[in-house]
Amino acid sequence: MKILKMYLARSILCLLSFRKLKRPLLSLLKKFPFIESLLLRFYYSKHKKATDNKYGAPDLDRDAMEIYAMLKDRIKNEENAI
Amino acid sequence: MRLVIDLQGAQSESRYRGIGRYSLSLARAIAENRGDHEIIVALSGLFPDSIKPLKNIFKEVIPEENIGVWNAPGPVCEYDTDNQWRRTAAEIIREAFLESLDPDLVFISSFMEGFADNTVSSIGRFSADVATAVTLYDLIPLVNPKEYLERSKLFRDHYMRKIEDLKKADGLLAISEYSAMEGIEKLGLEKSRVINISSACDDVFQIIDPGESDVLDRYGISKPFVMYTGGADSRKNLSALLSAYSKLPEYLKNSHQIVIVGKLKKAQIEYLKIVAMSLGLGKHDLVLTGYVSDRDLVELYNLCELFVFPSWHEGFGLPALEAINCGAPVIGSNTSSLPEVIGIADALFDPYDPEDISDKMLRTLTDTHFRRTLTDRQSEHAKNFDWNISAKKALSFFEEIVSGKKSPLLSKRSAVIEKLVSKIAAITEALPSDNDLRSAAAAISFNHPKNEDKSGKNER
Repeated sequence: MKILKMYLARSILCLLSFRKLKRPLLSLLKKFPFIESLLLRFYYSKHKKATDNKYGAPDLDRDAMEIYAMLKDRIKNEENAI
Repeated sequence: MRLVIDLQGAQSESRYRGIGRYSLSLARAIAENRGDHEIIVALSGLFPDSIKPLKNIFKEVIPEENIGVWNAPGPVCEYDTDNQWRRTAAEIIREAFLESLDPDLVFISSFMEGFADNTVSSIGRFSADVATAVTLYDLIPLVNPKEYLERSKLFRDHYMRKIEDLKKADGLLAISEYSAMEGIEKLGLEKSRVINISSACDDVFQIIDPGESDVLDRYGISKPFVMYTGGADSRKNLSALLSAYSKLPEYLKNSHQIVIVGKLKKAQIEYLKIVAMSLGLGKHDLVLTGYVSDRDLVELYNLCELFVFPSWHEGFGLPALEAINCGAPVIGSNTSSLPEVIGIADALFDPYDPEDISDKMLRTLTDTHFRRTLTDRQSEHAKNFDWNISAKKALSFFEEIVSGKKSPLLSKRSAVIEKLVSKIAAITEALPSDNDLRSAAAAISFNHPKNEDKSGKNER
């Protein structure tokens, strides 16, 4: 899926480099924010490699574990309420 | 007054640009001019590499325990729609941390970032009671939406969300009179909520003797030169600059070069080369230096014959002031904030009229008396721009805001956690992953440690 997304982003960026296609493509992309986001992610990833790698799952101490449990519990309740 | 400065402006990607320098210089000057006020600097843990250097800078002027670091779940950049939950949670978590510092006022040094980096800023997500002031650099995208907002829906949504939040600030500190006026007009704010604290430039920008420097050789500059530095987006008006230069008499063009200093995108370089060629400028008439270090920049300012700043929209126009401080004669646009910076009416031109730009260039390059008068009067005018003056203006504005607003009572840790959990659980824009919840819990626990000793003035 990741590779597919990358190829999609690359193809769109390639199409965008053609002047005549740029305007209609940009107006089309405005209607699909997820594709725009995908393109931007691809664009910025070239500049900031591995930005997201440092955000792994953190180890939680006892206090953080309590807060985590509270959050999980409350979100579940909110979902049930909806 | 207990003032908390959110210094993400000096931590984010902006730290390499004007906003970063401005944030850092102003915060430092505020700390140095604080008098009886207490200053706390808040740094974001989402920019880990920037924390140590900033701590080293500030521990010289404030006690080390007054430099606090907060955490939030990341990444939060707004261009990535997958970050939506984390961003909203981070906004709540950041505000809760700042409130826990028991501030009379929170000053945010840079508010509009966060689209392409992990800056977190908001007003009123956790509580609306904390007095907040924000630096207003400019409203260029809002004023020129076609150029800056219409190309990307995601950026437009991000920018307009920030604008709505900005309106909630108790005070805006504009970097120029023009920027203040723009804030009042375009955001529809009362005059009393916006103040011009102006700007200044770094001490490194001064008259020096470049002596045996090889800076000219390194950048391929072989003749006396007309200089510009800054970006190359359309408002910078560089095609008008090239067009004006091409209209100079042949003997002047033959004996000079035009030098554009600064890192430009590949497409911008190609575009400028094409424009120069179509105007009949030769290969060696236009020099594009690319990125230059501060040291080289100072030398280039000192060595140029003339500095031209043709931008038609600026929040301040720092390069013009830097050039003046380095003793260069400076001419620039008669629009936006530039007349305030350049100061002398004779040095201004209509940026939309290349003939007018060319006439001013010609006069400055050929009329020695005019040149001397210009540099003398401009260096006198530049004395008005001083970080200490800006810091004192900011502090008295903060006092005014604080005197009219009651600061919230400081809550106990358990109450803060309870409020945080319920605010975060109520986020409806997106759903969190388990990792997001863990990161949020870890950040909250880090920001509000259990043994936290509140020495606040009004705990409840």
